[in-house]
Order: sequence, then C-alpha cells, then structure tokens
Amino acid sequence: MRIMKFNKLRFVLFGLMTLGGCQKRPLSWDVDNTIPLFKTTFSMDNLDTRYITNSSADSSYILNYSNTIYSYKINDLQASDTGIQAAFSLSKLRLNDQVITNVISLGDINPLFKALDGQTIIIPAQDQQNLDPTEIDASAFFETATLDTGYLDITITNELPVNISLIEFELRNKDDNSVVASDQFTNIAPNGGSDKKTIDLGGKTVNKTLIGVIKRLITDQSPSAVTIDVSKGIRVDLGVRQLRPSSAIAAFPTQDVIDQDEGLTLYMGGAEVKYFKVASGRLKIDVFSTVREDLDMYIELPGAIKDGKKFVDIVHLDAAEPGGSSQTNTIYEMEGYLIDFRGKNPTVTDTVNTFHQILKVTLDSSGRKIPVNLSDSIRLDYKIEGLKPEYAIGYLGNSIDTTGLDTVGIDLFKGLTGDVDFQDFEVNFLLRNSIGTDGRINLKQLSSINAFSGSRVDLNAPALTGDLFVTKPPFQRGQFSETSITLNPQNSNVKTFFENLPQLLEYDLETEISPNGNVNNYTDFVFDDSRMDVILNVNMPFAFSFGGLTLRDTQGVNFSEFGDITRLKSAKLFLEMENYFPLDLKLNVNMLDKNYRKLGSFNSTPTDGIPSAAVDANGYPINSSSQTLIVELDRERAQNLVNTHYFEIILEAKGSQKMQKLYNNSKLIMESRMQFEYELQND
Amino acid sequence: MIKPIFFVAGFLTFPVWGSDSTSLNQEVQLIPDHELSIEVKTIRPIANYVIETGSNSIPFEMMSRMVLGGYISTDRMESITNSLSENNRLGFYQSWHIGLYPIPKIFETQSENKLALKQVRFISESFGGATFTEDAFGLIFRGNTPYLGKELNTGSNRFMTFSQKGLRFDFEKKSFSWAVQLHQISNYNNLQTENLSVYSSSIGDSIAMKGSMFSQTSDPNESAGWGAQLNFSYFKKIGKGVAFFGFENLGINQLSNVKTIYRGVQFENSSIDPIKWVDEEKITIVPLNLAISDLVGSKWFRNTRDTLIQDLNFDTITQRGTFYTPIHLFAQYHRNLNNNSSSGLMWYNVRVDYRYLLGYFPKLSTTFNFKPFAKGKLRNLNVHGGVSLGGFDTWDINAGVEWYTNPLYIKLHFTGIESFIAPSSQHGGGMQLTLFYPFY
Repeated sequence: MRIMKFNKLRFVLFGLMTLGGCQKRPLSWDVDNTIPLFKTTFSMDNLDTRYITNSSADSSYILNYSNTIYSYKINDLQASDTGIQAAFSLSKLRLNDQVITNVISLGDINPLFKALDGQTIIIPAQDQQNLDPTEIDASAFFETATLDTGYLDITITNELPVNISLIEFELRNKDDNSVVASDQFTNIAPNGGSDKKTIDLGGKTVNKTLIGVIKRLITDQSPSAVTIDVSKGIRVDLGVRQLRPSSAIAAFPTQDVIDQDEGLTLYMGGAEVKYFKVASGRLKIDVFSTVREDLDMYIELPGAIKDGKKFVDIVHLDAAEPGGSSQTNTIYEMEGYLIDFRGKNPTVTDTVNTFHQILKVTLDSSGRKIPVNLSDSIRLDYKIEGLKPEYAIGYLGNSIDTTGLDTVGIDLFKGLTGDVDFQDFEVNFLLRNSIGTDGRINLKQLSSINAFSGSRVDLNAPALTGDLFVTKPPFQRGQFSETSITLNPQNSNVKTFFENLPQLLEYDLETEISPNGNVNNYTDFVFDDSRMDVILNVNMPFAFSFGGLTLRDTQGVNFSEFGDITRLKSAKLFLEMENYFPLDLKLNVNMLDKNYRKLGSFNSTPTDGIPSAAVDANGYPINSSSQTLIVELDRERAQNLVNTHYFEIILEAKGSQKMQKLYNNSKLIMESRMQFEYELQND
Repeated sequence: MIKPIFFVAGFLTFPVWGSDSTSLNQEVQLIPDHELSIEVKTIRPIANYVIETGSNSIPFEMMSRMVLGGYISTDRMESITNSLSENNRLGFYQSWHIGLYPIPKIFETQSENKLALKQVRFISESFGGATFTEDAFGLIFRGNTPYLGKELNTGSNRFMTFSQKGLRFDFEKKSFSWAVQLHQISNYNNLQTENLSVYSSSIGDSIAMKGSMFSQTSDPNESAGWGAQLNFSYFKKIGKGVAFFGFENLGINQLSNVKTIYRGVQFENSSIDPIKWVDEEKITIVPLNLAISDLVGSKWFRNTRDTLIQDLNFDTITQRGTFYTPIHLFAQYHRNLNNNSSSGLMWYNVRVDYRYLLGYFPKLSTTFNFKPFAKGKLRNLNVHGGVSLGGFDTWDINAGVEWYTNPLYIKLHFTGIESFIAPSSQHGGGMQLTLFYPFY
C-alpha cells in the first residue's frame, strides 16, 4: 500500500516537473512586409568601354573588339646552368727548388796540410775515409718533408790540384742518421773539374738539418810540386728541385693553384647567341680550404659589362685553423650585365654561346712553416645559375609549333543566343610578331561555336589559307611587325561566322620562327616578352537587326547574408522599369543547385515582358516605355531557395527585325521593391 | 461525531488564480471518514504548477500560444488584429515548484513560538505583460504590407517578459509565514516605444519612420542575472472566519549582460531604465542607388541592409542594472460553512489580488466549495467554483476539484473556463495543479 502511494506520488511529481520544466516551442507567425530595395540605371556605357565607344557624329555606338586567339612564345631562352669544379690537394703543392753549397777544404781532408799551407810540394796520393761530416742547414725552407717526388743534384767540383779518383758521398738526416742519398764519383779532374749526379728523392723524408759525409776520398799524387792552399778543397753543391711533398712542414711559396684564362660555353637550348643581356641569374663561387695559408681568388669576365664596367672581383679566404677548414660562399647577381658570347677572342675566333673568363686562385705564402699533407685540399666550386635574358641576339634557331585542335573563349557574345543580322561586318586578322626574326603562320582551321545552341560555323576565307608570313620587327622592346588580313562578306563567310554569336573559337594552327634559317646572320633577337600573336579585331558600327536575342548570366548567391531563408514563405520582386532601349525585354530567373541543376524558376509577369521604347525613323529613342515587372516566388517554390547556389538570369530581347543602331540615350532605369512573407519566432 | 481538527500549520489557499498556494498557513478540513489521529501533521504543497493568462482583447488561443508556443496563421492573425481595441493589454504568469521534502524533524522545533524552517522548494516562475496599441500589434504581427498607404501611429507600447529559477525557504512562526527566495534570472526582454509612427507608401517604395524605441534582450545562452525576493503572509481569526494578508515577489534583481538596441532614448551607464526620450528626426527609407556592378550575388542586399541600419540610426549598447520583481499583494477572507456536515456547501472565500505587472488590473474573486457526496467512492471529492473580475482578463468563470486519495491531496483548478470553451473569442484562461502531502 505504501509502495503504491509512493509510486503514485512519484508519477505525479514527474508529470508536474515535465509539465513545468520542459522546453516549450516558440510562438511563430508570418509577417508580410514590403520594403524598397534599389534603384539603378543600365546603359551602354556600363558595358566594357574597351568594346563600345560612342561616336560623336550621331551618338550611336561603335563596336571595337579585339581578342587574341593564339599567342606563341619561344620556349624560355635560358642558359643552362654551368660551372667549374676544381679540387686540388697536396700533390699540387710544391717546395721551392734550392741549392746548398758546402766546401770540404784540404785542411778538412787531412789536417797535416794545414801545417804545409803555402808550401810548394808534391802532394802524395791520399786515401781518406769517413771525413768529418759537414752539417747542411735547410731549416730556412722546411722543417721536414716526405717527398712524393723530387730530385737531388749532387755536384762535386774539384778545386784541388790533384785528380780525385774516387769520392763516396753520403747525405743523411742529422736527427735520425737516416740516409737520404749516397753515391760515388770517379775521376774528377783537378783545378775545377766537376761531376754531377742526380738522385731520386721520391719516397724519402728529408729533415731540415742534413749531414754531408765523404765516406772515402782517393786522390792521385800531384803530377808536380804544387802550392798548398788549405782553403781550397772539394765543393759539394746539393741542389733539390721539383719537390712534391706528400707531407711536409714547410714554408710554402706564394703560388697559383688555379690559373685559367679560357672561354666557357653554355648550352642555350639550340639558340646560337652572340650577345646576352641578363634579366636574372647569378654566379656562385664557393671556396673551401684546409690549408693553413690564405687564399685569394681573382675572377674576371672581360665580356660581361654593366654600366660601362667589366665584371671583376677578388675573393679572399683566410687560412684554416689547425685541424679545421675555411670557406667562403659568394653570389654575384648578374642582372643587368650584357655578356659577349662570341668567345675568348672574337677578333680571332668569333663563336657563339661562349664567354671569356679568367680565374686565378693564389696561395698567399706567409712565410710560416705550416704542416700540410695529402688530405689537405682546396676546393673551388664555380657555377653560373638561372641565366635568363632580358634580350638575346644571335640566331634563335628554327622551330615549328603545332597546336592541334584547341579552343579559346571569346566574350564578345558572352551569354548570347539568338538570330542576329549585323549591318556591316568587317574583321581584321592580325598576325603580330615581336620576336626578332621572321615568322610563318598557317591557320589550318577556325570555327565558331555557340555554347548554348551548339551550332558551329567553320570559317571559309581564302585569304587566310596557306602560309602567312610576318617579318622581323625593329630591335626595340614593345615594337612589333604586323600582317593584317581583312575579312568581309565579300571575301569570306565571316558575317555568318559571327552571326553564330560564338562563345568559343576552335582552331588548329602552326607557327614557325626563322622559316628560312639564319638569313639575318646572327642579328635575330628576342626579348623576354616577345611573342607571335594571332589577333581578331572587330571594328564596326554597332548596328544590327535581330528577331530574338537571349542573354544568359549566372550569378552565385550566398543566402547566409539574407538570414534563415527556411522561414521565407514567399517573395515578390517588383521591378519598375523605364525602357529607353529599342528592344522588347523579357526576364526569367531560374534557381540552380550547386551542380547547376535547375531547381525551379520564378514566375515573371507580365509574360510578354517590357515593351520597347518609341523610336524615330533612325531608331533613335524618343519616348520610354514603362512597365512593372513582377518576379514572383510562391510558397511552393520558396523552399527551393534552401538548395539554391546560383541564379540563372535569362534576358530575352526582341528586336524589330529592322537594322538599327544603339544610341547613347539608350538605357534601362529600374527601381525595385520586394514584398515577402517571413515566419517570425518569439524565441 | 468526528470533529475536524484544524491544523494550524499548513493551509491550502483557495482559490488560486494564476498563483500557487501563496499563503503558507491555511485551514483545512479533515475528511470525515478519515480516521482521527492524534498526530499533528501539516498538509503542505509538495508540487505545484500554475499558469494564468489574460488580455482585454487578445483571445485565449493566442495567449496560450504565447506562453506555451505554437503557430498562428496569417488569416487568424488578421482576425485577431481586427478585434483589438485602441488600447490593449495582456499578461501571463506561470510557475511551478517542487518541494524538497522531507525536512528532517531535527530541523523543526515543536514549539510554535520559534521561527522554524518548514519547507524548501525549487521554484521556476515566468512573468510577462504588455500594453500596446492596435497599430503596433498589426505592424509586429502582420507586417507593413496590409497597411500600405496608411500611417501607423503605434504610439507608446511596452512589452516585458522575464523568467527566474531558484530556491525558496519557507519559515513559520505561529500565524506568520516568511519565505526567502534566491533565484537566477534565466531570460529578460523589455521593449518600449514612444510616439512611434511608420508610414509605408501605397506601393511600398518608401517607408517613413519617426519616434523612439528601445529593446533590451538578455543572451539566451547565458544567465541574465541574480535576484532575491521575500514573501510574507499572516492569518487571523475574525469572527467565524479567517483573514489572510500578505505579499509575494517583493524582490530585486541584478541584470549583468543585457543587449540594448535603441534610438531616441538616453540611458545612464549603471541603469537599464531610460532617463529621457528624445525626439528623433523622421527618416525615410527609399530605394538605394546602386551601380549595375553592385547587383552581383548578395552584394546589393548587403549594401541595402547596411544603409538601412545606418539610416535608422539605431545604437547598440550592453547594459547592467537592477529591476524589481512585480510584487503580488493579496488579501482573503475564508469562512467555513458546514462544519458538522459531511456534504454540501463547505466553505466560501472572497479574495483580492494585485500584481504590479503590465497588463494586470486589481482582481476581485469569490469561490464556493461544495462536497457533493458524503459516502461512496466519491465521498473524498470536493468541487469549487466562482467568478473573478480583473486580473489579466476582464472577467472569468472559475472552477475546479479537490480530491483526497490517501495520503495525497490533489487540487485541480481552472481559471477562465469560458476561454477554454470559446478560445477564439474569450480572453483569459489558466489552470493550477497542486499536490499536498501531510508532513510532520
């Protein structure tokens, strides 16, 4: 019982809470409001003034329309990236050639002769062994060097008055007593006779202090009595040359490690260029060294001139730290340089695509003895990158370009379909060439296509068939040469071609530059904006007759600006029109979804639209016609707005079938207001 | 004979027209065949829902939708507009509460001489009222198209609604009852116009507007503010009856974030009340001059809308300030008639109510209670009926029932029964459902 009471209570309490606490719906109702919107005037002056100009003679309009059907540009002329990479290591370093002279006097040979100095005696034959060594100091040149290659020239000059029948000479490193070289000489004539021997030092280590030792000296008896002069003796000249150390601690002499003076050829994609004015590009030089001496790099491009000055620079690289390296990266922007590509010496050899460059890298000796070995290196990376011309002069080569079947848009009749009869129709096809060489164009096919009706008209114009030539223009930026072919109803079907009101032109054409080869002897040129264009030009009084003309336009719409359109019940747009055009106008609006599929349309009344203005005999509007056009969206269709992403606006104009002009007082004045039903909510 | 025992503490209020049992202490009559108990219990309302609506011109079908939600068609709105008088009023009051029972006995004292906490309730209340002209109603609820070529002198109008939710603590001592309530303001809306007129040309190509107005709205996603209020009642035996006096909703509320759109009004920084109405120049909205290129996509709409907003010269500010809860005053005389009978006319009362709320007039009501059956299954059923003059409405016929189903006591009351019968022509209606339960 108690449980039943409790449950009853609980149920009722829950019901009360639900009744009082649940979210209620808002009160909603429909309001019907009418609000003014906008006022505007449409006249011919609102059209693109490139196309329509006003004639001062009778205030009618002249149609002047120009459209580039096709534009040919040479594949961007650009020098291929080119560079030099040079790396050199210790094998390319050298030690100075040098000569050390040492004299072994008579007194050194036998001290007994010192006592006989000045006396005249017969010198007996001598056979001395292991004479006192003589120290030879080379520390001024190196501390030590392990030689990869090198030569030691030993010259023995006999100043003695006796014949040297044998002399055994040995050269040692003082510190470790290792033998550097040893050899023997025989029968060296007295009184200045000499003999020379060369010893290969490859693989040997030579230290700064050497010992020269005469291991054995055998002299003959003097043929007669001679005056003893103990100061004279045997002169030993030690000459080292072509020393290429594998490692050394030595003072390296100042020396050029790179020395180039030559022409550098760039690939120009088939063009043969004599002169090249740089629009953009750079020269990059990276130098890397582990050598503990300063380096200087001298670069000169004698053929690259800017502001009257040739390109010259010197780059300095400091000596590397012990165990470290030193590097420098330098970029030169070449913009503005005029480069002579005729080679190193064009007066001797006039070539193409080749420029003169001088590059010298010098090791700047400090005189310090520095350790160097085969792993030490100096690396030079020199590169020309991205060189593009402002203009280039030379021979551009012969090239043919074929488009195949392709299309281009034409907006003169954008959105139009209908049957139109133009009064006069004259079209100029302009072949305009700003590439500095002769050109040829062959128009194989040209068709007009109306995108709405799908109709197609092929151009039949004998004047445009076959090869059409254009000449080379003057050498000045923006200048062009032009070949013009006029088409009219007498020499072609151009009137029918355009009365199709095309939005697309389909073409197939072929272009060729330098069709006759290098007939201009390398005086062809190209600027960065040079091209060959095929241009359609229409210039005629804007006079026409038509039965019906339909203009279509599609406008995207974003309903988030309008608020919550799901609550829009119906809408009615009132357009008060005052028409000064000599045309009957009718307006329809369709709603399209995001895929351009039709969702529905607005009802438009009156169904026959807005009548034309009253005109005089010349078609000049003298009185406007007034009408209220109502574009309505009823309740059933209003919900389609939720999915509408585009409005398709279709304006149909009906002409009088008589040829007429449009004058500058032709306009359409619109004043609009909107009535709409909208559901409001009291949130 | 079983004598009814009067419980001094815990009374029902009869009748209730759009309010809950506002008087905490009320005399009740024991059901005759209910077993007498020496236990002293108080019958207290444990849950209550009440809604009261009314207008001197707006029919009940619209009033009920304004409170409970719903859609009104265009044709019906036209019909309602045509039935309005020049000066109209409407209002509503809605509340529900649930008692957070039981309060442990340890918190109660058995002594009647000490102020004791008797009840804690969770309560939700909504208030709304409006005074408006026929033209203002038409402009808001129908739009300007039906009035093209006419000038709508909407004049002075006021519309206000707000809701609050909170806790109420009820204290009693002898004949006195106090209740302290703390609540959160969940939404606040206040709209006022002065000398507002709108003229739409005959074809709608120009709209001229003059006058001043402001609209204050709280953010629906945030609390609008906090408040507190005091309720009081007192009863005294007078002759053979009992008189009750008291007030409810004596409160003050602090709003913290109210967005105000206004023209022709001056405000102070720290107050939400206007200090001065200023004459604004008449503005005329005409078609906006656009170039053809501007008629692209929604560009024209954006330009038109932006120009319109600029021309109307509306300003926007965010305000904070205080406002007072509309106080409710009441006085009632209750007389038991048939204490010795188990059926028949049991009691009657006469009551006066006044709410300081837009659309409310002082209300006089009288109710008679009748017990049709002394025995049988329906012996626990009481019915009551009465009439009232004033309130949100002009007059009402009221009726209801009480049913005792041990231990629950259920009361269902309807105000303005004529509105339920003819909602499209009659103006005010309401209902109340209360559950009572005996507690110590």
